[in-house]
Amino acid sequence: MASILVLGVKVPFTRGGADALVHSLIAELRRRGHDADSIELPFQVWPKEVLLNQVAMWRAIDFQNFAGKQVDLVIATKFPSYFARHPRKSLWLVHQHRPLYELYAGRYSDFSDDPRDEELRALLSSGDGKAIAECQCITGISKNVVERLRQFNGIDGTPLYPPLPLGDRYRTAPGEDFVLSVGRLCAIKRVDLMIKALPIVHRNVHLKVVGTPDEPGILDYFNNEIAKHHLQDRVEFLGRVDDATLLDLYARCRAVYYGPHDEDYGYVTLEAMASAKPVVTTTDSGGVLEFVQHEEQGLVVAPTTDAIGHAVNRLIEDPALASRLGAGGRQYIESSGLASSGWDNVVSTLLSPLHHAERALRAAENEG
Amino acid sequence: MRLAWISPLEVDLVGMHSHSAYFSRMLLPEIALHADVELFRNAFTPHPTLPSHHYLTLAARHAERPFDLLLYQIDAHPLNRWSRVAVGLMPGVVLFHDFVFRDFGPEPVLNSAWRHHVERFKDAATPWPVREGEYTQQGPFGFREAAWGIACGFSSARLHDEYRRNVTLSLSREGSIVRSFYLPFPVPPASAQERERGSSDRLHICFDGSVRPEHRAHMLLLALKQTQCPVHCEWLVDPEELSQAQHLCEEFGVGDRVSLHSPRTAERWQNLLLHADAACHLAFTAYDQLGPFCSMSLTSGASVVVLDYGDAFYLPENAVWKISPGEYEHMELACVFDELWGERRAMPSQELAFLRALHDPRAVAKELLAAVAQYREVQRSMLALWHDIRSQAREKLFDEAAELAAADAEKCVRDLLVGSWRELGWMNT
Repeated sequence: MASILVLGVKVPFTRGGADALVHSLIAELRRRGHDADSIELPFQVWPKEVLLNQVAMWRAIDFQNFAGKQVDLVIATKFPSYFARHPRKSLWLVHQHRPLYELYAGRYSDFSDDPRDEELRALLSSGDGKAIAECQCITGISKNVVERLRQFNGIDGTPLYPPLPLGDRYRTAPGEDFVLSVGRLCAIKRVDLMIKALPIVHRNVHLKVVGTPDEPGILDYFNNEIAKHHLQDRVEFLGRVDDATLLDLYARCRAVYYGPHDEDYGYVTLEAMASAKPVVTTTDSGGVLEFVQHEEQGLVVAPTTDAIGHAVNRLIEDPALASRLGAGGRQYIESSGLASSGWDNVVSTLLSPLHHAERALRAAENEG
Repeated sequence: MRLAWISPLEVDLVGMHSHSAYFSRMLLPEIALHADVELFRNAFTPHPTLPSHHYLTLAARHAERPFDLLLYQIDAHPLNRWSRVAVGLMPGVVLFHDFVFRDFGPEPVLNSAWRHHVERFKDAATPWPVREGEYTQQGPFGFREAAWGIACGFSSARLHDEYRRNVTLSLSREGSIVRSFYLPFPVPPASAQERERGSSDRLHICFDGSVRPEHRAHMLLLALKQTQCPVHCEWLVDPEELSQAQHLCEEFGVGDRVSLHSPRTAERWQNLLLHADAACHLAFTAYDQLGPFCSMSLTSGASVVVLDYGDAFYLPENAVWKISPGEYEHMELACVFDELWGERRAMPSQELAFLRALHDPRAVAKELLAAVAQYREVQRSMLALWHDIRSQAREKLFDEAAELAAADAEKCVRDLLVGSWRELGWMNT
């Protein structure tokens, strides 16, 4: 059994899909008898220059031995954890620093035309290329993430979908008159589109929002929109909820709204599908569209409040459609191996550098 | 000449609203015959005939095989905002279309310290601006893009004029010298087909315009109602405005005198021109550019009717009918229709030949190449300066990053960081 470190990146006081991924992976490694643990360093995005220091910190730490115990393998996840140095390094890429790449020049990037920013972008981009190429196993959590890596850094990887964090515990129940939104509260997740769509959604329909703020001022902005549209009695912020509550909300909702901009993967999509609920998403939601096809598992509409509002109304007015799309999602989950059974493939893929090392060692011994 | 063509190309996606894409489609076949062209755009999809890269790889590609000239195209289409950011990455020639200097900039550069950075090209001692500061924007946001051009080209005479008068800080200015040029819209030869005019029992006019008030559809419809001549109007309109256009026609009681056509493509407009006695471009706006449709009309031989305002103010008096905007606009229009019905004369062949030569895509491409070729030396020196500034930026960046970490244990932390940066090859040993 091997000693394995899963390398994570932690933004204090927030919790997102990447945190769930790290902890689920450790649990699955331990279940298979490995001695697994995580190392998470705090991550700051501002001021931008500090990114160089965080890269350097990951680079400077010796990950091969801790207290006399040899580390057989490290598994990196998010930027900049893959800058860690180790002779056996796997990558399960959640995402790179997106403002440098596909978000550049858009509203979700803070990189300007300052030559220092451009130099910073060039350094980090070339650093990504070098650090990721060191990995013996290069995978990403979705086709979207892997494709970005290929396009921007010229590195090939394999999509390796994370199985559902709560395995086979998802269940369904008759839909009640609320739409559920789950995820960190930040601009790129675009919960505001659903809030602003509510005025054209049937009045009896409410919105329940699970997740904590991840950006300064975001709740003020939401509350301002709510007040502006007189929606105080139709939107409920639930904050972070425990697993049982989350499963219950998924089971009882009429539909799940998940319309982020170019999402990496999106656990929420799969959780909704596992709960047999239709997903309302948008045409530019990235990884979500690897699972949701229009009128198959949900409704894929333009990223506008009108389109989202009308999509929700369709599901409210036509319960048979909502049931059919929900069933389509559940069927997809059952046939895709994305329930808990999918972990075998994930673990064996990420541990492949160990097997290669063992084979190389045996070959050397035989030759010797 | 090795030419980097940094521009939107997705004609199908943004249609005629993207003049950059239109220029690319019209000019690249000819330009590629005379220059070694590589395309840079906000996509990874290959181009059918030319090497194509993502624009963020421009500097790396230049390091591999240096370009003699970088040519950026910028327009006001929201999908092309990336090109407005890109223009600040490396200095080059900038070709502006349908651009509004008073527009807000793209979000990542709304609070850009571009004045400081442009000043660095002129004076290396200019201090680095404070990080994340609020920078004074002396002048409209769009001046930033104009400032980054080592030379600026314009497909709008009005915009060119505004640039020369108002943009005082720019890489294109050296003392009293301003490196700028005007480039006419290329028009595909289809519109130059000879037509038989005046044989119909009605006056055929075509109109390109939105239902929005500044496009003056209401004035045109009123004129159609008031004119004494038998007239029929072919109105080219965006698909999403079709029903509103229909309602407008009914409201003015001229539904039987108007046929609606959609979508607004160059091909469709050229087809309408084939049977038109007159073409109307009536935008009453200081910002919108007339664009290629008006140039197509001018080269078609049909009479061209414009509103004497904004871009159209710069059209030659002897080539178009100019209507004064205001209270009597519809009456003037009706009078023009009556007069055209009376005469229905073709544009004099000499004038028509001149206009066709002016807008011929091959001629425009050659003109562009000749214009930019004269800036090769300027480009070379600007890129050398750019290289120096980037080196200084890197040093400054490392200083700033080390300062952030070095509050208490300066030397120790700095050594740790520098060790890692060197190991990554970011710093020289």
